[in-house]
Amino acid sequence: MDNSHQGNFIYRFLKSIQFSGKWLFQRAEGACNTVFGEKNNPMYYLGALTFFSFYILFISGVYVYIFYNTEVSSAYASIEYLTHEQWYLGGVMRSLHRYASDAMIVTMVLHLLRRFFNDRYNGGRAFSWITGVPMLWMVLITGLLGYWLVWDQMAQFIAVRTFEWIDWLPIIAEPTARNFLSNAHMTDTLFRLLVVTHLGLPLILMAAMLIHINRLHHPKVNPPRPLAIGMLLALLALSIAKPALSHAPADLAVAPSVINFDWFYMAVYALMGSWSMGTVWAIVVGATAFAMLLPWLPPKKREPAAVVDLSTCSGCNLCVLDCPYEAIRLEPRSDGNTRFTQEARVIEDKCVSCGICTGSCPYSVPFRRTEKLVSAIEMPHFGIQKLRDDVITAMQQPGEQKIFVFGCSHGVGKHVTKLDKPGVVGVNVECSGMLPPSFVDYALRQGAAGVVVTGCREGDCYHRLGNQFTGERLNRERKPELSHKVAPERVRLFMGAEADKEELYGELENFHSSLAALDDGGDIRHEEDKGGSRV
Amino acid sequence: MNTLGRYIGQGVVYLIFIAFIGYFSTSPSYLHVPADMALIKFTFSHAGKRIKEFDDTRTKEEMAKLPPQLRTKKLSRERTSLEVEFEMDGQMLFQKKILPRGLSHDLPSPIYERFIVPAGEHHFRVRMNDDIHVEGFNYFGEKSVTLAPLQTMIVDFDDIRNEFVID
Repeated sequence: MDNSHQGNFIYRFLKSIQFSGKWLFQRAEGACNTVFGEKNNPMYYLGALTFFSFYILFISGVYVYIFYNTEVSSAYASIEYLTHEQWYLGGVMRSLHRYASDAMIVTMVLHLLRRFFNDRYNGGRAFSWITGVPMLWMVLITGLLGYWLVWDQMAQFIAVRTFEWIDWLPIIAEPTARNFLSNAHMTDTLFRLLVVTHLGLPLILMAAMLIHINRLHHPKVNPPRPLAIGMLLALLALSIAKPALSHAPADLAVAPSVINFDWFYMAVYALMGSWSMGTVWAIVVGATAFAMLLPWLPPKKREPAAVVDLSTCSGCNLCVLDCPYEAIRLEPRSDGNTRFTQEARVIEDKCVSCGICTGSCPYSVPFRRTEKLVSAIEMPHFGIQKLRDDVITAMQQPGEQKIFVFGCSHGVGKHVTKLDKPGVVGVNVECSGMLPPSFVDYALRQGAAGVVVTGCREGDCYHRLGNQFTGERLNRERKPELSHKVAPERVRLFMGAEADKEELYGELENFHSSLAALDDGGDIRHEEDKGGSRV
Repeated sequence: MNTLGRYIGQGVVYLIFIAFIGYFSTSPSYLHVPADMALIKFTFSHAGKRIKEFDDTRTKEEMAKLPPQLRTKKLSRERTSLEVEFEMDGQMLFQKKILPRGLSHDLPSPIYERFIVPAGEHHFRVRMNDDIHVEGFNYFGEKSVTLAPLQTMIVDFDDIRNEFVID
């Protein structure tokens, strides 16, 4: 969100919630980093774990369905058979089906909250947000239909209360809950309709999941294998330790009394018991509408999209490969240039102005002696000319041995321009992935003793893939690579969240000492200083 | 943290996760109807009588000027709102005027009300007026019922026999 909304009450309210939530999540993520490691941190794979729960649900659901009888008179008995007679497999599968559905709600809600707290739901990300919110309702409805199919007292409760709730709407002429007045009203046809809906909704959900990730390049749809195995084993252990059981069979002549609620799905039914149906409708519709409108409360000021300079663009495809939002594609040349056949074209609607394309462009080199330094693709508001000027200005600050920090604007790098540390200067870039590796070389040539590039915590890049790409470029595993003439011991990568400021100080202290030792030993900054050629 | 410590830490995280899911998937339980109470569903959908036969403001003279095939009167669609009262042991449980559904108020008036009452013997009386031209009520029902704990009793209106059914 930009600063123009600071006087807005909604803005300040949302910001205060975000601040508290972010603080909480960053501590939880830090704890998980300690025990799982950054590559397997479940907090960084909440969306992927939701997908994984869906896979478990699909497989366990298919197994349960093989034994399920779709007649209302025998549905309950078929589930009881699975639970008690075939407890060793059918019962486990039923329990797994239930607990995976609960896990799906937990990971979805955490995923949603995390996106909100980290301010990753508006601007160019609004599409994923507004396609994600209705999916929560689809999962809830599918799960409730699943409970319904057991046709026990909880199913009876859900069926009757759901239709009583729907009947509150003044558009219904005949109360639909009257379909559940007696056992004779409950027909096989109606029951089979529910079965078909329970099977059909996940197919729609699957399509919605694909749409949800449609605008992402390399979406994380599968958790790392250790995490997937861990989650599966945990749910299996729960299924064995506490098998899912049915209530007494449904009997519409008898009112259900005590119901062991699945609160992940049924919390709204508790509200129906305390408040009027109209109030519950207002809460549900109001909360959903609020969530859907959140990206525009207030609207995020979007920075201008990346622009392509056709005089230098060779259509090399690197920016297309690296764009995390699939906002760039290659098209036939439009400028009559016969040397190259293609050019990069930015899809403005998808561009979130992260600048990762600038970092990937081989023309983002500060050493060129042109009147105006322009990359083949860059941000109109923050091009490589500005970045080079910022580096020069920062290096002109007084002091002897300097560490130059390129900090991303979202993680710990937020602090780099305000670091109260002698001998450390820095500039901010939108994302660490925006930094062309040649600028590391440039800062060293401007006199820096060492360069630190900071990004968000590993696996948690604000722009999804920026810190991964930067790491690979600095390690010379991805184009454009850091020049081989740069001494690797003078370059460090530090990944951290805003909360990791102290760790950054420690890293700088440590780097300072090791650089001092290097310089005392007469070490060199560039291979060319030994007689090699300039980049 | 060493490898063993990390595995233990992961185990603790998974344990918290499944404990959270395991607990809230069945607990705390929810009390829908207390075991010593019964549930009454007072529900029916009944179309009130039309408020007037015709909905036509044209005078006889105006009608006479029309061609013979256009001299039919436009039927009125609006129905009477139902006035309903439901008593248990002389105590009024429900008393309401129910508007017909539909933009022209030409559809039935639906009622669906739930009452949780103590189990045991009760005397029920129900009255309804569905005709604006009739003073008081034109349908009555009365019955004594011994409600078993958790029994669901239905109070319905049979549109074919035009009478209340308390069962």
